Amino acid sequence: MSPKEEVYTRHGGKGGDRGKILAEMMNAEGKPEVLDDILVLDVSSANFAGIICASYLAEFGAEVLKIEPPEGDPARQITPFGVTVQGVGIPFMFEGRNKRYMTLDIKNSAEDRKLFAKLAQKAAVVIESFTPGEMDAWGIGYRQLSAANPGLIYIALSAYGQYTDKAKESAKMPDTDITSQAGSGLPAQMGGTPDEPEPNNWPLRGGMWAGWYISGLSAALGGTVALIHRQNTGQGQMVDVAGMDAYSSMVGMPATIGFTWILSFILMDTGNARTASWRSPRRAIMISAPCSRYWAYGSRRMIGVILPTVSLTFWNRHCTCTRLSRKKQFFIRLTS
Amino acid sequence: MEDYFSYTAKLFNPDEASQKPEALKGIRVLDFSHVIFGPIAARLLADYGAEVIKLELPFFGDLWRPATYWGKYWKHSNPIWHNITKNKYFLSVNLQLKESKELIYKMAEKADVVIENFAPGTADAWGIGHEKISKINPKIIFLSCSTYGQFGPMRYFPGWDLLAQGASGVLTLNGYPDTDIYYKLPDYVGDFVPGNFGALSVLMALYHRKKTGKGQYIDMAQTEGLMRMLFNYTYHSVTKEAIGRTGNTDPTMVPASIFKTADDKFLALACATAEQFKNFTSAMNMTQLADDKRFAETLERLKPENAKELTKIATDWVKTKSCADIVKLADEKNFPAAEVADDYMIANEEWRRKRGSVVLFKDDVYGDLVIAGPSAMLSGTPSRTKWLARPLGYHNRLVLKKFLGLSETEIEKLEKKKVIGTFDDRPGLKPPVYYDLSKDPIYNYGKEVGK
Repeated sequence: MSPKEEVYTRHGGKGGDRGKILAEMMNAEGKPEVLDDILVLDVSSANFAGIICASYLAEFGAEVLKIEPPEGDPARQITPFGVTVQGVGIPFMFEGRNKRYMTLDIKNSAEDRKLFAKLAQKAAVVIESFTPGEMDAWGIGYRQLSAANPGLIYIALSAYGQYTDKAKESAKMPDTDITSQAGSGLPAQMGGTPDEPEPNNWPLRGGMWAGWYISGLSAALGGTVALIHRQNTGQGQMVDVAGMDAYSSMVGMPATIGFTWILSFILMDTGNARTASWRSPRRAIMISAPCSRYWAYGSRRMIGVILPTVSLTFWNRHCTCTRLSRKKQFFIRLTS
Repeated sequence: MEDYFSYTAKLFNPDEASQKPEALKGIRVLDFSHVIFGPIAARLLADYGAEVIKLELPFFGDLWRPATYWGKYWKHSNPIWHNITKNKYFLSVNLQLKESKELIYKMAEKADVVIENFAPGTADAWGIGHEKISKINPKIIFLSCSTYGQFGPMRYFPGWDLLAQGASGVLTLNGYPDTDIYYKLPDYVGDFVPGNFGALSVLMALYHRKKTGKGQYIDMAQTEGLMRMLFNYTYHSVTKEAIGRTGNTDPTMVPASIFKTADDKFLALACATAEQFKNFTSAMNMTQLADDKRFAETLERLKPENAKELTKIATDWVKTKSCADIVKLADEKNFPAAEVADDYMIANEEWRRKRGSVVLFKDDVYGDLVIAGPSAMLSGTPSRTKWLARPLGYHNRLVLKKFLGLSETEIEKLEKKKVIGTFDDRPGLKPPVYYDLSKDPIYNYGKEVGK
């Protein structure tokens, strides 16, 4: 090991290989791509969750064919403040890398649908974001494509999913980032505290595409699990991602907290006139400005939790809630 | 032809999920990680059928076990912890002893994946890092999770969710323009998203190993995982300006914001395309807006001055309608709208239960708990919940006996030397008070128990 490598290995030094392993990892040149035998067809429309999912697969080496209608995917125009690079929006530039582009008018042309079905026979993955059932009605849904290609993995993205009565009822509702965030519980936990003036005390959206990126990541993860099953058995399957539960299912907390604790929250907040819209005061105590103070308290042997608290009111509420003794409260306030 | 939704209802039927095959059956994962970032990657593998053995220190356990919101426990456990570590085997070994390391090395011989998230270099210093494990088992896939990566100038800085949110730039994006108040993304998104990336890369490595027989080392940096979600850098390189904070308004679509309705509820509404906008104007009975040259074209509509104008029109309209009315209109006219869902709604809405994205799970030890289902539903090899988190060291005997093939006397010896251990009296580590462990057949695996 060279002296320089030694510097890069705090613990693995003394004849270890860690420096070498890390140096090897820094270099991507000449290394194989995992999905170099995979063809992905992305026909998603005005939905970045699909584009993002395809983008992850492309990064791992898949051949991704982005199929657009003749006028182009409307996603090309979804861009901050209308800023484009020669007519193409920033997010599309960013997520559109590593792909190949072709036009097929599968919405209107039976001829193009046939072409698409032919392509799908060679493909391992199809990604689409049309209204649930729309591709099926055109004769190129999972039902028809999988008959010709049983190994096909068909990833469908929508607002409410591909099954259940609700999905049928709201089938035509398109999926966007902000509705995905709101429907799956992110903004309810973000924003100012109830005593702040409007609109600062409103639920707040995540300042990036938390909904679409989480849907896209979930779709890519589910798709890769399906690819592993396909590798083992040759069997394909359908993957269904619903924007309205992408976030809540990824972090899992809304469901469990909603079930275990919400009753005590409601009791705790009955004095508050805004209870109706503040049924979830988790935000009031826990999810506050990160620049506010942090309270740390220890249990017998270890530090238990670090909690940000905003004001004395909330600290008091927090203490009632955790049933800390007054003495302990005082001690903690003194030491913080 | 059969109706599409009755076809998909059969294809995805959540009641049949537990009988379907598991994609990762036979994959063994050693999970050295703690808190959320590493454990969630391991849990995702466990959800799809991998055998995940979680290692913890006796009488101490994972840091996150007792760390519940407001110190409020549910049946002496951290309810959130159940979501993070379900479906795993809980083994508790004392890493300070030589025998424990031998035990780990023996397990590593047959393992496929190792996951750790200590500060970079720590696992190697303890002799359980990639360097050592890959010598024992060259085909191993080793995932190291950290905040800033295994190499680079920031590598020795420890970190967690909030620091990664700060370092990636996510923190600067949440909040209102022209204020100095920043908000963090809730629910440890900074752990869950990179954890999902970690699981994704392990799956890719498994796919590669099947083809070539080669394992590999994966370096997953939390900060980079969050950065992958931002196109803001690209925006900056084009315009030399920052997108900055835009409050509740999404600058990529117009109108796209969170509004307050006539009945004091909050509603997210967005129009991503010209078509959706047209549908929205017809719902508002203001179809003339769709022909207005300021709003007709998407790119024109997105210009800040036009966007402001249109957002104001939308705000005023939403104010006159109830939330339920607008959502109903959205269903009919086909534009995106959703009520801002809070924990209570998510836990109780019927369609989520039917879909399986929120599940009332009946556990042998803890009883009924509502937990989240997967965010991607697979028709062939669905993710599933088999059991919730378990007390510290609950699967000691099962893992040693069934997976490692140790004899009763060997296990007793290990117990005596305190190589393996269990919980003490702290909540989060111990079982619920009403639960009699001495009668539990899994905790006492291989012993006779009177059930």
